Amino acid sequence: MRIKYLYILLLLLLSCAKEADWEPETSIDEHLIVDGIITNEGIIQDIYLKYSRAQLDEDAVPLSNADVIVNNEDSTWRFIEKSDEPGRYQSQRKITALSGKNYSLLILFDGKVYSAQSYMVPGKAFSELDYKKNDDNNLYHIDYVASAFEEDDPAMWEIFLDWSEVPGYEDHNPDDCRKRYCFIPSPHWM
Amino acid sequence: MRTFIILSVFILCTATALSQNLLRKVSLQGNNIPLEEIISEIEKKADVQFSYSPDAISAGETISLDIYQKSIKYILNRYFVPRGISYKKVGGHIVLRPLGSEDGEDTTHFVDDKYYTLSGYLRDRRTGEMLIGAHVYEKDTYTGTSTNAYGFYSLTLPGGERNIVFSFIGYEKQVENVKLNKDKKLNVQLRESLLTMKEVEIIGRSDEAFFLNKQISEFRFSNKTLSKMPGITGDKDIIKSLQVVPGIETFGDGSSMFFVRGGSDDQNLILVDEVPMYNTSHLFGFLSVISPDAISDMEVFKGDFPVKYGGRLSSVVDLKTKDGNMRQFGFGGNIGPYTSSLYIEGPVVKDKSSFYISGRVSTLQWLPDLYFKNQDIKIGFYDINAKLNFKINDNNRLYATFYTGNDLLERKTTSSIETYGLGWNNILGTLRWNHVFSSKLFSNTTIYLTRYQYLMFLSEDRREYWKSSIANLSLKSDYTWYLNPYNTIKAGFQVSSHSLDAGNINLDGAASDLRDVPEYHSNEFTFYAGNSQKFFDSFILRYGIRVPIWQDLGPTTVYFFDENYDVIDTFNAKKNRVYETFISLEPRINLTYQVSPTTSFKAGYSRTTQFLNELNNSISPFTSLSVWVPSGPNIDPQKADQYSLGYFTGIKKNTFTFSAEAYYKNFHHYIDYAPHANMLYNPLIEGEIRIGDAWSYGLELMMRKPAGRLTGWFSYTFSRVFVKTAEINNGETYRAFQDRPHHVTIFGSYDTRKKWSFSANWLFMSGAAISTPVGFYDYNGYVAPIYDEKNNDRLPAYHRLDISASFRLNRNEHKRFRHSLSLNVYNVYGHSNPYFISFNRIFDTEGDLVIPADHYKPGKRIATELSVSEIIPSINYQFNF
Repeated sequence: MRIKYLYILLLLLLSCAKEADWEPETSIDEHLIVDGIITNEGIIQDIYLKYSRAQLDEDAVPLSNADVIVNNEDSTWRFIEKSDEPGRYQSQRKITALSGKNYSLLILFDGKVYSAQSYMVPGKAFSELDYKKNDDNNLYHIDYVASAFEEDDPAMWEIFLDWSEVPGYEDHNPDDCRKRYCFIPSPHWM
Repeated sequence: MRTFIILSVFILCTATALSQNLLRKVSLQGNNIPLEEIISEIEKKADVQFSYSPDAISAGETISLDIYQKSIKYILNRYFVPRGISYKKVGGHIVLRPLGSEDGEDTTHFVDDKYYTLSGYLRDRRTGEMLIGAHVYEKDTYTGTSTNAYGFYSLTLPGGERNIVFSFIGYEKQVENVKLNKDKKLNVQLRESLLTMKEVEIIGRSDEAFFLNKQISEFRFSNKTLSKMPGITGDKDIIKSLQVVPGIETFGDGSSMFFVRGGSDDQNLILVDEVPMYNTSHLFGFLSVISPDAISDMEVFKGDFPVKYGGRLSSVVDLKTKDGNMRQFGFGGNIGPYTSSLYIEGPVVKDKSSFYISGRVSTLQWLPDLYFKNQDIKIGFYDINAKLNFKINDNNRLYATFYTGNDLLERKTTSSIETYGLGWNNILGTLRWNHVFSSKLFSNTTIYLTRYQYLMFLSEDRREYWKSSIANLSLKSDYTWYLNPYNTIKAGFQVSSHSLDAGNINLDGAASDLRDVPEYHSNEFTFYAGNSQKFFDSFILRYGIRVPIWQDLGPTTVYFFDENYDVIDTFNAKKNRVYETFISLEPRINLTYQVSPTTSFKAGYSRTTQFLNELNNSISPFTSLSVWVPSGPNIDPQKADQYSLGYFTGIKKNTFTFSAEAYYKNFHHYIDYAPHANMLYNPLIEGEIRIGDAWSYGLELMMRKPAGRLTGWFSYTFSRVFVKTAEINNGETYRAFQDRPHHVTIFGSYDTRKKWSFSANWLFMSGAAISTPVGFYDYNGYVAPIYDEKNNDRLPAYHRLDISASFRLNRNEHKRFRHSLSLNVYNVYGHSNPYFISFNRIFDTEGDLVIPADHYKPGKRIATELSVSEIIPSINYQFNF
């Protein structure tokens, strides 16, 4: 056992985490998880059907052989399970979802029907990100992403940063030079 | 043998008058048995207590006897009186003396029906320091009292010549012969017992547990007891000492949070010389903010508060600081790797006025410098305590106390995002005036100011920050009227003005326009009165009522919420406009029945109300934001009703003492929080509160060995606490975070009476109740947890062993300059006690733990735990002159 009296400090820097020997105390029945986003990107869209699981690092058990249908007021799309990837259902055509319309999802499996409805929220205009260089510390700052939370008009932004081609980073592993950030203005925030 | 006798005589002294039956029947057979053995046989069989001096009555003399079912009176008359031994029933004891030595007193009762009052102060002879909770009693009748928080006592006795005993833990017992023919003043100074005079000290200590004045649910630490307790960094620690008290659950490592009988952390009132202190932690709670050197007495109430205390639901920790030496200058201190402290004390005017100043500073900057060389990390704290007291005359004394403590933690980097700083500070000032109106009426009037601030720095130069604060200015006056030997009446009032800021942003060192978060102003008026009444010799009934009145005043903005916690109305209260008033009635009652000199039963009921609430929805002390808000339109005052029963007894002539206490407690308007509540800079912070009910119950068992070379205790507590809040957990009952059913402490201290002393402490607590996922699912590339019931799971059980050894460096212990080295090891067997479990980490391909914000890197998802300390060794050097 190593004597670690520096823990006082490590703790303050949130560094003394280690793997926990944790077992879920109770387990609920498996839930069917429907994970899908229909966008206006005009691409083949995916819907994943998997079960929830008890363990953190377990692979989710897919739900196969379900009928998956999405429609709006005008059209209907059928999603077919990929033969090499159970549980992943793909649209047969490219879908460009239209803002201001209602979309519904219907899943038929083993005699049961699951359904959901959603409204395609009109997208927000996204101003181009602006970088400013701080001369004091030589770092670039993103000054502004979006305006604060508006109750009638909630929105979220996803920002992909890739600096693998920035001078000085060419030799780095490109995977280390990419980050994905989500910007979600929340209510009650400054 | 000598020890035994002194001890047994002493125990008798500690009890008050009780009636015992001389007519109880016993059987005794045997040849050539010493009288002493016969006496102890009778004590055992008939459950009575004898008091005698073995030399005076030649207790070694042997007799032969064969009796069957005869009364004690018969045995005494048949065997003792013929041997020149008289007996007398005094209070609960049978006193044996040589015939003819009764001083002409009536052998059964006092005939003088005129009563006189003896009053005065009890002090330490060497330093003039007041002695709190010392015992003062009449030697024969055991009618007694204890000194109050200012060392004052008042004892009313029948007239005549009386022997008055003054005793206190760690001091030589002193007997004063007083001719009581009028009300008299008697100031007494006790001599501290030195290490070699252990007999006396042992006797002194054994009385700690048993004295009729002891309240139910109370626990007391004198400076001497505190000094034996282990602390995390080798320095003794006030709050850490509490975790050995049955019924008090501490957070674990690295936090000064504690939970008493199911109550939440903000339901504990911590008083320093009568002034509330809102945050008692240094360095997130590794240490308490007040240097243990400066404390002369600590009293802990776990419920059944005396009527003079109020304002919190669960406990009162009443700390009294030292007065300082009235006779001569002295200094002392402690040098250690984490903290170092120094105090000086001495007379301003000899025997009239003294001062005590202590300071402590962190000395652990070497830690970050050593382990985080390239990062500019600063951690530090300090505290200063200063006290001045002035004895104007016998009837008037003034005390002034000042305390300030400050913590700062910061990390500066070239990137402003990664620069952060946190700080908090307490400042307290008080002026107290003790006035003795007459030998029967004592008063203390206090005026105080206390302020606590919590800051989060937003800029490197610390001129921009988020700050929450609470402050109050208060005047209070407490009166004790020692009416007669059977009634002690206490009454008083308090007027307070509170100001609170739930956390606003200050720019450039000044309040900015961004002051959207409410600031509050409240007034509080409290009145109380109570009586402690003795009757039938063996009962004490304490009853009283406390009436707090709370008013919220403008200027402030009050938000009103609908059932979805959306704002439906806003009200701007003008300055000094009262927009809410609460009045509460708090009855308190408890009854003590002294069955025998060493055994008593107690029962109590008390109601408490709390108007100040610390909003904090984090279970981790490191992410806690301390925000205090008062009760108001959205927050009903929290109330608690507590019912408790206690049983106390001494075993083997008080070599061991055993206590059992049970309680049931109901909390009304218990505060919990909405899921994902935002407590930082939230103008609608009151909308994050969910109010429910809670209840707790428990059984606390404790066995102590208060005396001898080896002292210590074993305690076990079983306790539960449940909450029911309509909008949380679907309205179903759930266990509170602090629900930790099993709690075991074992503490032992061994004094070699030479240069070494050792102590060890083992602690076990069930893990705190937390919510953990019952399943997981994939969603949009994330692994999302599924939560079911609130607090469905527990952290692993907490346990650790601490040991400490102290070595006196002086060759001659009678020298005034004493110094010693102490070696402490905290958590000897290095058990990892996690205080937090998270489910959002992965082991990346390099084997490092990362938070999976970066979805490009795959890895194994695991649960991780945060724990504080494995082994923390320390060595400290202490000295005093």
